[in-house]
Amino acid sequence: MKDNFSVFLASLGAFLVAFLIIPIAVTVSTQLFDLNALIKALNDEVVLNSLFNSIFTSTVATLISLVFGVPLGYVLARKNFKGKNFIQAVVDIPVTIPHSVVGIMLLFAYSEAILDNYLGIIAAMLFVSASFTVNSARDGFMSVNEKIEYVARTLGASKVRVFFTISLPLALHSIFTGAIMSWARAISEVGAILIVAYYPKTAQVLVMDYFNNYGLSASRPIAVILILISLVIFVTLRRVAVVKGGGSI
Amino acid sequence: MVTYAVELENVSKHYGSYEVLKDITLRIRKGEFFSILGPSGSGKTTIIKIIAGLVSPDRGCVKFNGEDCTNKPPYKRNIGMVFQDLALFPHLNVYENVAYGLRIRKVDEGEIREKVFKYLELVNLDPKIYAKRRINQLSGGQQQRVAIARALITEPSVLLLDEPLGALDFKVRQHMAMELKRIQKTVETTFIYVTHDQSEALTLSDRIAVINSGKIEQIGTPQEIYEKPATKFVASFIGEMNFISARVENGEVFSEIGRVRVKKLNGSREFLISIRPEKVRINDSAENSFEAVVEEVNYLGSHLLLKLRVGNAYLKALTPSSVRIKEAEKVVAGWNSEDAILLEA
Repeated sequence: MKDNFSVFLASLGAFLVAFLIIPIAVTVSTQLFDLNALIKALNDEVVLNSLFNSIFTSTVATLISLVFGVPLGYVLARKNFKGKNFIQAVVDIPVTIPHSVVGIMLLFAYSEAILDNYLGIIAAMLFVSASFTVNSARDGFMSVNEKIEYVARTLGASKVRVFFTISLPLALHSIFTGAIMSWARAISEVGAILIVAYYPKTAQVLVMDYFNNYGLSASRPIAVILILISLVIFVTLRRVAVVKGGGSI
Repeated sequence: MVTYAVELENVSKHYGSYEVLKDITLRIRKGEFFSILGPSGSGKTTIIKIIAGLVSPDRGCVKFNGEDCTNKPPYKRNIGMVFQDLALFPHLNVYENVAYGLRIRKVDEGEIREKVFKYLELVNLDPKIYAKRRINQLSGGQQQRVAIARALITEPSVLLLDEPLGALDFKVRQHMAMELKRIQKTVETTFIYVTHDQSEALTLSDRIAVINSGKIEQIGTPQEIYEKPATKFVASFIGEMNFISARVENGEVFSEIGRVRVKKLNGSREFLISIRPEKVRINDSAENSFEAVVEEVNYLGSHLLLKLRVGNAYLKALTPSSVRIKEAEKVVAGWNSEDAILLEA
């Protein structure tokens, strides 16, 4: 029997999918008709340096969010304490603050230490992306049956051992998914980076730069390279997460 | 002097303002199959968690083999634990689940393999077939066996089982209950078994502690618990029971259904006469006999469960189904004084 309601829902969803995919498809396909500009951009040292900067800083920001965010996620998942809601709100707040404001806040707080250097880029990226890692880690640990940890402790494992042999492996899929989202959010950040660290230039700042100075066509080749690199890394990591997790994410 | 496997002395526990356990004292002998039986929320799981060291008591102490272990963490208590939902490690296969406790103890690989195979065989799982299987490839009963093997492989002094059969369907549960008894007899480890299922407790246990609202109502063998319940709660929680209010007047006992004879008064002026349905005699001579009307006849296969009206009171009676009795039939129901238990009103 034809399920008209499901068809109706799918049609509404399809609109959003089309809306999201059209800009990517149009931008990439338009650039494919101007391969020379793309090749030229790929040989441009400024472009290559900016791409390196983007990938390097977003990866470092993600690693930092893992080192500090996974323990925080575990505490939020397993412990009840005074101020827990406040901590959770602090983790979520960056999502709600305009990114230019994030840049200004970071400059006020850390001033010269982060102005126009890698540290500044990483700080801006970490601020806007860490909540993805923390929240995914928290959800991952919450999904681990606490009794599994109890059993491991009765079998002779200390709390540390239980964390590394039971809780962490079981939450790894969620943590990895969160880390991918953090990385994606970090590499897409512009607003805060423009204010905190215009230099060294990241690819996303360079796109902005070219757009402001030379127009839409000049910024497109770098934008396309950034889109393709992001997509390849994003899709690869998601595939790894699916294989490791034994399911879909 | 007897050394007990586990002792709880005056243990109390609050969760917030709610007192979950009230001054619990338990002594569990070595090699005993000891059940903690009570309804949901009675505090039995809290007791087992306190024994495991997963929850700390507010007051009192926990001893293992005479040694005070109240403040020892779980991993230093030499215990095994099996939960209702089994809590198997889903990211490890059967072999690694069972081997976990030995790996923690850094046992060499040869010994691990030997013991994993031994304990899988003990729980009737062929290691050659099941060792490499993932947990989600096993049935409920097989997962149960893995959980037991994993808990026993470290040769704990005590195995704690928190409603371990609760998630299984009826047939598998019955079978696994017998398996548990067999395994316990084989390994001779002290089993502490938490359940709300009175038939499981009666079948499996050497002794039972009946707990209600955080207090122990009675500790005894299954026979003692069933045949000589100490309180009205125990009498009503374990099996079916008739309660008849009675009082002593001028040395004679008057119940709500008439004058009765009792074996031995307990000193109270008002009390309850408790009679199991199978002790109620139908159309047979008994010390206390009353005319009754059969209100309901429930066929149970080998027996009939009758609901009898005696005056304004009701009695349940169990009689062989070979006896032909119909609803609305008048019968004589009675009991002998030695079959009645007197309890505080």
